[in-house]
Amino acid sequence: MIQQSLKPMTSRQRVLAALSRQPVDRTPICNPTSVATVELMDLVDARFPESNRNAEKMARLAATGYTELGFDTIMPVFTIIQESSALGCKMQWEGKDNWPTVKMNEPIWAEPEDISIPANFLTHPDTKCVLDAIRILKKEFGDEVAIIGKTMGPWSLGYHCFGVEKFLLMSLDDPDKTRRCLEKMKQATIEFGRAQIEAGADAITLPDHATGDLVSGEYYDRFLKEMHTQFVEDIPIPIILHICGRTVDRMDYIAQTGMAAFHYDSKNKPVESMETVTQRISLVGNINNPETLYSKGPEEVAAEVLENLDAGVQLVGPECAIPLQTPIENLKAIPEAVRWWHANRSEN
Amino acid sequence: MGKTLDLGLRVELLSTDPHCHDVSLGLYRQVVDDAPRFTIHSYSRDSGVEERIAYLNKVMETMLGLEEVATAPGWLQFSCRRQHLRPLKRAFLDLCKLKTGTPLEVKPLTAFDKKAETELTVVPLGNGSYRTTAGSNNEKVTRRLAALTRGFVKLCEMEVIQDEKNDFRFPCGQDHHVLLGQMTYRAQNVRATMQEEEQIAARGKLSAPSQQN
Repeated sequence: MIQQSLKPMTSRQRVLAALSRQPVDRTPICNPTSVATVELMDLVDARFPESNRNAEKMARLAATGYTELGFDTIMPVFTIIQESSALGCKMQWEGKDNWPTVKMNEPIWAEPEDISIPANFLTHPDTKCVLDAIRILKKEFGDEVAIIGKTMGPWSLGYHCFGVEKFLLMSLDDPDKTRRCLEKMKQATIEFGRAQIEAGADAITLPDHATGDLVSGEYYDRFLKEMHTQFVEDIPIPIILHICGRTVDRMDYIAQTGMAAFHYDSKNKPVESMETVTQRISLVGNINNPETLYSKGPEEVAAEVLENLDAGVQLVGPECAIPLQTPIENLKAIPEAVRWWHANRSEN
Repeated sequence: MGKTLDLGLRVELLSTDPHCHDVSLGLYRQVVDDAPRFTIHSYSRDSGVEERIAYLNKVMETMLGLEEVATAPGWLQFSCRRQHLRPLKRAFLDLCKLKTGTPLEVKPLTAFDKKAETELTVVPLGNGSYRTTAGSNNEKVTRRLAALTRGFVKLCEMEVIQDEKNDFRFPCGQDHHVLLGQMTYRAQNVRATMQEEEQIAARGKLSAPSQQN
């Protein structure tokens, strides 16, 4: 809900209000996932892979989302592998221009009994740097801007720790065993999420890759909905659920979880998505990454921003972690388009 | 106050330059008075970056025939005031492979073609038109001349001249010999070039765990 008669809000106020579907002075620009690019890495001398493992560099690179791009959020957890590294997965850290990955063909677990959250899970360098980066950002920016953390959901951890194929086959062959695995792995999700709250996060992104290409909406209902509902109590902060792909078939279930927001993909149209969630959860998104932000220009970016705003989407931003080679001018086009829409099209 | 600059559209990016601390080099385009102009920029303040960019500017002038915009130091343009974007992007990435200080030698319009097993030549016909020819004539050579023509048409955004199967031209109507010389190797190997471009485009995009190996 937009009320331009409201007193100007800080970025943090704006984001938190939108996450609870309260009135805002303008639609916030939000990145629940990374907006780091190789050029921004150069600008602040904080390059991958170091900026995924060094808190000071992580904070410095993340801050550019606010200071350079004009977003209302800062999200320092660029990767999806920090916890998996701390859990003992084998990693490929890559270089400046590529994403670190888990070597999923070398899984660390095969049975529920294998699952164990290490005692040093939160003091491992790859989780500790996230907590330290959030502390640095909170100290530097205080209440000015919303700081968003990230904790991976158990389904995603299952892919990393068991291997994608084995985990999916297990879910088909032995649903009870899969549930036992999820129950044990969710402890990592909760512990890391709570630690980020203590460090100063204002909201948490929770990616749980029950993605449209591999997992049906019915699967989401069967395996994850209840657990995600419980996360709302277990991680007491606005949670932004992130699932890639076509997800309209599960948005109704997602809207029932009580989570603050759903970070949705461009494979879902803004209008159909808003109609499905019916104000029970905020939507964040859904500017297309590979085609629009990476390959096209500011005008095409603006068109997608306007489509979201016209549909009433509460927070606008990229659909997922942006490609590292994304042009800066395309990212700056997002806040410019939001401001243009409020000046020219908004009814209030 | 942000530190990023308004340099226009970034049309190409070398994400890591192995010859200069792995900095990223962007090729930016602005259009002033309907004329596109280009500049190479890095946001890195590492030592040696300015020298690197100065060298690459010289490379672009020598190897592609770009000229400095008189009123805008550091900006380059084609003499025809058109952009020739596709060959420029490809050549920029290729030329960034040169180590700073490498002596520059304009590529000739004649190159040996492994598949034709002979030299193929691009003959200027004037007003931006060219013809591919060879010293010998057999079926293999005929096929390769046609392939080379198609390669130039595709990678350099040129037009086939009707009824002349190995003739083609730049839509701007002006000659760009050095640009064509630079692009000859690529035009001979279009499929490999396209595959390389796809690989470059895929790098740096985060896939969901389900899409990763």
